[in-house]
Amino acid sequence: MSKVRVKTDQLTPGMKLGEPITNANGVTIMPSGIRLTPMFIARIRKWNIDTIDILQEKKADAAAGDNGDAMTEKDQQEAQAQASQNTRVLSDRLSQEQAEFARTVALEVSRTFVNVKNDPLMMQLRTVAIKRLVHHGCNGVVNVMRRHGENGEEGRSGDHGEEREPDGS
Amino acid sequence: METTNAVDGDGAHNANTPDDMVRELTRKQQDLTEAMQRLIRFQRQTLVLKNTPTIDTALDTMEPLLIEVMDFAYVSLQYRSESGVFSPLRQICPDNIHLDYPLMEWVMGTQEVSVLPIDIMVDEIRLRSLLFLPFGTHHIMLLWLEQETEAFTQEQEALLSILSREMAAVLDSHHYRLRLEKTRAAMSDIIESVPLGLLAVDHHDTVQMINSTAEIALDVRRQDAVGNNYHDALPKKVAEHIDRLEQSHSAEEVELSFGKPGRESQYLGLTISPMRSEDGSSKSGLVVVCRDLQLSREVQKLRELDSMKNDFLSLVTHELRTPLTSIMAYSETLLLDDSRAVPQEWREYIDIIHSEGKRLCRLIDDVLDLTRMEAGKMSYTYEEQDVNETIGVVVMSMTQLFEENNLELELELDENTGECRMDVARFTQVLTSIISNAVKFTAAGGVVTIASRRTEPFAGTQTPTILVSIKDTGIGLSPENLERVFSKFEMVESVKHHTSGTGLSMAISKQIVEEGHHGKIWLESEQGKGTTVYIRIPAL
Amino acid sequence: MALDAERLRATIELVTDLPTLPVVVARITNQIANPSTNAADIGRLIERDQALTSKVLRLVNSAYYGFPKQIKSIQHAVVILGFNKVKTIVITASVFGAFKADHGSGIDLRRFWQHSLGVAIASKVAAEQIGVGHVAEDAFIGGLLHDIGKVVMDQYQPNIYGPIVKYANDKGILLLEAEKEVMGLDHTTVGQWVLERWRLPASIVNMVGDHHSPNTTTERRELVTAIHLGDIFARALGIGSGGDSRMPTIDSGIASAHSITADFFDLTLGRIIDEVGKASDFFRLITSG
Repeated sequence: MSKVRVKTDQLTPGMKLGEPITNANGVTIMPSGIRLTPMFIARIRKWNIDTIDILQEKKADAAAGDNGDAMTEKDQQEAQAQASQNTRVLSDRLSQEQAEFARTVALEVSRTFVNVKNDPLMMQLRTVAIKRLVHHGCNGVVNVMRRHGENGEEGRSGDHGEEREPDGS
Repeated sequence: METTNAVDGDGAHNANTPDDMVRELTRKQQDLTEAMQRLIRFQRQTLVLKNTPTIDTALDTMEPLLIEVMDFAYVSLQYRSESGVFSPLRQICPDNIHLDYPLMEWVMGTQEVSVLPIDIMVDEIRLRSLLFLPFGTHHIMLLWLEQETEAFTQEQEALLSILSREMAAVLDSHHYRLRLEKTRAAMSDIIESVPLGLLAVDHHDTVQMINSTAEIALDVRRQDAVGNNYHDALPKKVAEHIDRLEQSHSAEEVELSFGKPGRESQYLGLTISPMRSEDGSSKSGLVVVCRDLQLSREVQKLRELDSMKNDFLSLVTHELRTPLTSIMAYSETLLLDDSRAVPQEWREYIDIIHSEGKRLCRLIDDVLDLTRMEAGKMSYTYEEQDVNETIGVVVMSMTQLFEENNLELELELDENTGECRMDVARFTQVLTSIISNAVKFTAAGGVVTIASRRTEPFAGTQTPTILVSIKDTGIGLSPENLERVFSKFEMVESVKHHTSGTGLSMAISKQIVEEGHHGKIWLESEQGKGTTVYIRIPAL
Repeated sequence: MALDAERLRATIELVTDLPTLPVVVARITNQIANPSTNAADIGRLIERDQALTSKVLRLVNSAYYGFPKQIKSIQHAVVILGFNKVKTIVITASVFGAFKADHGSGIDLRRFWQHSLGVAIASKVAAEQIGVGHVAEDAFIGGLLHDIGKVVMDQYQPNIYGPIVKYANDKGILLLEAEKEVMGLDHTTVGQWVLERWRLPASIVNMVGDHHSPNTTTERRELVTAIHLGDIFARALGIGSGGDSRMPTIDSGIASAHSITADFFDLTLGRIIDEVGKASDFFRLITSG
């Protein structure tokens, strides 16, 4: 966070103090970092302070102009929203991988169970098999088996005619 | 070169004539038959283990069977607890003999007989094999043998497996029965020590259980109650009430008093609760709870008194206000008068009247506040507010006070402290009164430090908390005073003889922080060094 | 589909020209049936075959058995792990080596063995779960060998069997049904022939013969049940491929007799996956042949 010097008559609510305000005896009256409310701003102006340091969270585009060096409350909120969105995207991506994996497993298992879809007990077995395979993840030979199954498919021609079952879990 | 023991799969061996071959086959057949019979007999013998009443008798019964199979030099029966720790139950072996715990764990896992080749000398005996016999989930037997592992036969393995399985079943069932007993005993202890009278009645109206509290309360003996119809066993009045409650399906508590000649009247609260069968379908009986109401009657009386006190205080303070208003109004008028009609020395007196009047006002307000707070009738208006900001405002309004007292103010407000739900006016009141106290009790040249930061949640909650501390370098409090700080009307000698306080400010602050903001307030102090007041409230 | 004469000839050939197993395997399995056999006897028998000895030693020391120390000799393995476990290992190690990967035409041999091993493990776990843990090793062997007839037919009569496999998959039926339709006999019968030829004990031979119809035998019914379940579980988990892609259903008599519910599946499948994970040495054995 960088500091910027602002004229006291350009202070707007929402700005954060970049330096503490002390009185003649050196006692801190207003700590650094405090958010300025209209009342505070009025007080500051009464104390005959010309300029004051303000904390800046976003880099201003232009030195002068309407934006100036002041950061509005709205800007701050936007910055915060952006940051939280970034973290959400990251965690979404992780569970996306897991979701992909789960979907692949479900598809493969369902393919195996295609001819018994009317048997309730076998359908229960199918559900548990999907759950367990996903739960145990990529460890063990079982998944290696599945990967090996991708190349050298033999005798599966019979299934291609049939409808692909949607994943059930 | 084939040994005489080895048998070829397809029967080719050193026989010469067909007769020899036939004799060979017959012999083999006999061997197998005998082995089969031994196995069956052994299996039958192990059945007797099922009827053993305790773990000890099971072990005693097992021993001769074991000796039939194998001759051992030393034996150790180990018990494995729920937490996986092994301890010896019975053993005949040297104390310092080495136990391989990982191996024992492994055998407990496979639950199969296993033999380990070893070569140790113990007391001039050469031990060549260590036999592990798992007996279920909690027991394992180790046997040290002179027999070499190479000589271990199929038959021995088969017999030991049978033994191991039978013992596993027996010992496990004994073990779980013991556990069940312990649990039952523990439950019984709990039921007996509960300070309520408990009774259980089945759907035939027979008393199943009665605890000692109920025995005393209803003046009934266990032997006379259990197994009998409750209409016969319990005092008539009690039984009638139970009937009435049952018929009306009421879950309410019924008060009744009953007495016996030579005994004081008992006040009891009776409640009944239906017991449901395990699948919740049918009623399987009743639980009757009887409570001694003596205590609660007294508590009720106290509560009434407290409420009366609060009402009284409210009334009185309202009455006191009226004359006070006049005093304030007129003294102020006189003070504001410019017209020189009031002599100078009188001004001083009027000033004192006015300021003392103000003090009285504050006192009355405080008393009212406190009464209202204690009665729970205080209303707070909350808003989401930044804590540092609030501190800032308070600080700004007190700068003059600091200057006058020649004190330094330091702020250590962490910028991440954040917001909380607060009644701004009340919270400001708390901060102001604490800071005032700090100023009051700190000599010139001292420092008051106000700090704020975010910290972990209260135990058992999820939201983080905000910690505000006000530290001074004043005279501090003695341990006795520290205890009394939050009590009403206690005032401690202050450094300055400028007492504008009411002695209630800390009590009020405590109410505001604890009841109004669900927080905690406490002090740390060292006499001569200073005091720190801590306030901790839940953040947003 | 095939001519009658062709069928007859193929059948006769099958009976006479079967694959062989090293002699030592039959010797060992029969020796173990003898109660007075001791560990030294078994050790001596196995040690005659160098290749077998090293395979056995590697497997007894694998994570599958989890013994916390190094097992240095066959005799020690026999007493530590038990006669039956060693028998299982000997059979497992030998059977995979009896067939060559490049001979067959209809079945992928590697994936077939993966399936067989998967069924072996699943049958063992199923046996323990339905309460017959004392014959779990037999269930393992039975599971391993349950479909041996298929690979025999595939390797020794590829011209007949190859088309049968294709036929089964095209029509979406079990290989068993296709075999019966086309050849008049099925792989369970062939399997029994092979195992008899290998001089394996009658108990194993019978197990294999009945695994597709568990309710028809009275002897050792639970064993056959375990293999029936093991086959289904291994297919559900996609371990290898048995040559066809049709899922058999769990026999309803078995389901009620053993209270088979979703919880049973959950527990059993979890354990099977764990054990398959530990059995990587066994799986590596398939590829090294």
